[in-house]
Amino acid sequence: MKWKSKSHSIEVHGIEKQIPRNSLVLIMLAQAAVIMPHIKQLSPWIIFLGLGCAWWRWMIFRDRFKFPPWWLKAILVLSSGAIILATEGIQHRLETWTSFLIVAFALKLIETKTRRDAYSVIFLACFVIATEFIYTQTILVTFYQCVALIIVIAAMIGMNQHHTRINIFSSLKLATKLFLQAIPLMLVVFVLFPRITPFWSVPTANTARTGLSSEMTPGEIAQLTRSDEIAFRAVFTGKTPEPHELYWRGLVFSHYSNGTWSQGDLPFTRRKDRLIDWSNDQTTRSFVPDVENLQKFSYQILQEPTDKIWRFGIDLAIPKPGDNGLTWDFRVISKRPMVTLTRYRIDSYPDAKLDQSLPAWSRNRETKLPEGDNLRIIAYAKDLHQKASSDRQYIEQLLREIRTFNFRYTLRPPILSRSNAVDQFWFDTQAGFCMHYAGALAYMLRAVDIPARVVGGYQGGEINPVTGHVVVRQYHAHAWVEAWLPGEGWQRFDPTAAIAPERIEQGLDAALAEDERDVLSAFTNVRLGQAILAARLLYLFESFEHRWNMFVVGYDSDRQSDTLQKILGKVTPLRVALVFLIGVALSFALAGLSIFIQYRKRVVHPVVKLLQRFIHDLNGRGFEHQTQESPMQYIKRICTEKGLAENKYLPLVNKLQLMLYASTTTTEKSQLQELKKDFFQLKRALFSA
Amino acid sequence: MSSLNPRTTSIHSVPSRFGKTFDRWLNHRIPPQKKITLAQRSIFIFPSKIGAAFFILLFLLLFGAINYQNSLIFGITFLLGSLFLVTILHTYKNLAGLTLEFIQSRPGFVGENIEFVIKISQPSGAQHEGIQLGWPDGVKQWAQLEEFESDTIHLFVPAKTRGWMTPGRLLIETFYPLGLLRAWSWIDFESRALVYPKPVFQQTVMQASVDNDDGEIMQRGDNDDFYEMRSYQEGDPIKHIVWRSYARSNELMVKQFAGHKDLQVMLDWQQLHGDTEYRLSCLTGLALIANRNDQEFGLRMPGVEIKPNSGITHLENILRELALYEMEK
Repeated sequence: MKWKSKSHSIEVHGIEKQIPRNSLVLIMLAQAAVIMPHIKQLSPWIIFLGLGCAWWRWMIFRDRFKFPPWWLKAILVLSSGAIILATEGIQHRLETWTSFLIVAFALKLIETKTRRDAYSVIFLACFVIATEFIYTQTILVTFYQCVALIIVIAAMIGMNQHHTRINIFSSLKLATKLFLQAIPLMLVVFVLFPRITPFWSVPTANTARTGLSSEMTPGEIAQLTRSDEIAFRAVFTGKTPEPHELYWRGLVFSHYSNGTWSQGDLPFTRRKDRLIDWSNDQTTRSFVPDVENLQKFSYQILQEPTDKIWRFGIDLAIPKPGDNGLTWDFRVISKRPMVTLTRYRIDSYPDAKLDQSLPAWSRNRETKLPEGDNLRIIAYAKDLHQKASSDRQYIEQLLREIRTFNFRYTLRPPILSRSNAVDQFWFDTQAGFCMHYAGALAYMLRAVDIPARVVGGYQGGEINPVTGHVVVRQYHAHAWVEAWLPGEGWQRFDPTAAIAPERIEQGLDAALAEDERDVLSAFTNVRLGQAILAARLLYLFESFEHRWNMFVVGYDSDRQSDTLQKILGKVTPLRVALVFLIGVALSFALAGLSIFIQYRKRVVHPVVKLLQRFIHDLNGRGFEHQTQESPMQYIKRICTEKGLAENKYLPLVNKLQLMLYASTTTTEKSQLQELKKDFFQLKRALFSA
Repeated sequence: MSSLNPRTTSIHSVPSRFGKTFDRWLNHRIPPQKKITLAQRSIFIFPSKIGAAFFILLFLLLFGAINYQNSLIFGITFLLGSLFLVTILHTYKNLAGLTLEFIQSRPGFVGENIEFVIKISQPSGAQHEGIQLGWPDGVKQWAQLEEFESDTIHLFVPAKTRGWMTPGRLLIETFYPLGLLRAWSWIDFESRALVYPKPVFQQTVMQASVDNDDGEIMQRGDNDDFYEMRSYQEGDPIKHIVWRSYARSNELMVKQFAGHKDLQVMLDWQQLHGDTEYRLSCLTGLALIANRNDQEFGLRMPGVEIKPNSGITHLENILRELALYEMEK
């Protein structure tokens, strides 16, 4: 036989060119599911656009509307793009890209006609799910996204079935099965796939993530909102230090002007590199103190994404090699903004001396004050200093004044003006929180030429009773003062400990007056409050979250090499390949098993099904079915026994015979319904006879 | 671009000089047979176009995961990749075990769609979804195997030339469940159908060839008038089947025509003008009219002589001669 070699295409019926109804429903469902988590960061117009497009598509489907003409689509695309650029600006930002992605997603829907269009919507949905993971990586979000992914898979299934067969629930069921079958292999690849360093820098999110800011203006804050979002978790090897020892240094504010403390510029930019010790350079910088033979404690930190480079450690924090750098002012920083959960290890030497001697540029920098600002406090400080016998005594005198004078700790302080803010605070309002006290103290030290600066970070943390790790939340944010004393180096002084010692010893809620508790979230109040069971549940959930972060979200190259060593002993290509093959085998075995089970479920002819049910019903009600009897014989026998007229049952028997044994195998729905009715009538006749 | 049924890229997109080698290989791999159960040897599986696009998606996601150092994006990327691997099995199993059998073909005329009947069944009783069948040049049909153990599929291929029509290998394919993979097979049933020449109706020629001894006209009605409908019997001309009524009642009905009886005609090649194909077309038309009029008619062509007779078998013989004139029988 001659078989044509040229390529040919097989055409299809025009009627099937439309995306089938249930498939479209699934696609729209998937779309809604993946957009939902983004809603909080989308402008309202994008949401309206999305809803509008969905509605339009639905109307097209119901033949009420037509697909939009090309010019309308062009206008929609161009104007949407213009609005995004106008409102968000031309920035390489994650939010801008997300907006673009979701607008494209919505607009694509109104031109989704063909199979290819449907698949582009489906693939876009996968992207949107991935994008959401850049923002949040909690267990709950992950679980939600798994459900969303299953809906996306179900939409794909719908695209490959005959349109009469697409059933939303069975598609979802199969999608779940496929999802579960894919998991073993996914896990294996997840463990094995090498974690490479990024190829290029990525747009980061700019939405205000709660966290520390790079400068502080205490006088402008009327109410400090205390979020209970987690800043980081710390896992100590060995004993966890006492809460009052947990001063997590994050930022150092060395520059004061106009009511604002900021990090300030270095007097030189050229040498800045020499002022950061990237431990993996193997060159010890002169500013790093000698820590040999000092007592230390080690811990690892799992820091939530901040999009900033600041890391946290307890003085003196020497980070383990990695992306970590130690700066001249003893902060730990990261090479790249941390856009995802980051894990790093630190050794802390609490007894290390920070800056045995202070270089001239540093002394100059840490004693500088603006000209002509807060003159009252400067005069007051100089007077006090003269009376004091030493610098240390002077500082202790100041702390005593904070403790004994009419100062008040509050999260709702009065507003201060930009100039003479310290004067106002110290002499007039006398109310504030850590920033006010730390700012004032540092100012008064600088006023008498004692090098001093404000350190920002977190103080304390809650120990989770389940796993024993320390949770540091945003409401643990704190500011304190560091002063340089000859021979002692930089010493920590915390004026908040003077005004509200409970804050340091027992945590924030102890320091708060009853009427200020509402600044804490409901969850925080439960956790720190009296309801033991509820608190325990919250802690339990938090411990899950922690383990999730430890083992899944924080799975980086360090963790990977540990894990591989643990699983494989020695990491050789052969063993890696073997583990991979085991994953493949597991997934295939699961798939094979489900297919096998499905095979065992034989398809029963609907007519047979009806007949079986009919016999089963009668059998239980006195009409015994003998084993050697065929169904037809059975019906004939019981009908004659009951004395039914032939015309009551013979037509049904004939019909059954035809439907079961005739060569045409297609039985239509209407025929089945008719048959059902016949069975019912015969049953009634039998019972009444 | 279609929605449900993607255009199939033929597996024959290889350059033509490899085409023959490929045919030989295919013949060796899936030898021609009337009934075939699909198994590993006869099923091909490869990523579809959408599957290829899916790989691009995976790469983009992987880049995102690396650049954001995001474990969960790694996770979703690997999950989708694993899903792809798992569906290989599902797609393959969707075709495996199906039995296809060539039932019959019905002859037709050039310009018509020729019907081929295929029976597809699943002896194992497992569910198979989203399966499509089609001849190259023809139209794809869905096999409905979800609720029944077998399905009879009527496939139509347009006839372009007279003689034996060989539609080639039958394509059976599925994209189920995710559309990322295509499993397919090309099945050679060695099926063929007879295609008669396209009839040309020319009354004038007809008159010229009517024999002298007139017969009587039947009382039943006027020449070639529709007379009555009755159920189909073996041998009735397909032209007379009332398809519309078949669609309604599932029973084949044929139109009956009343006409002249006992008129003997000889359809003579010599009395016609034009090229071979045109003459064959005219003869076909004449044969059909004569048959409809219940005349006895014969055929005289170079090398062929059939005595006048009537009846459906006679008509089929004549049409067959016309179809296969100067061709291999």
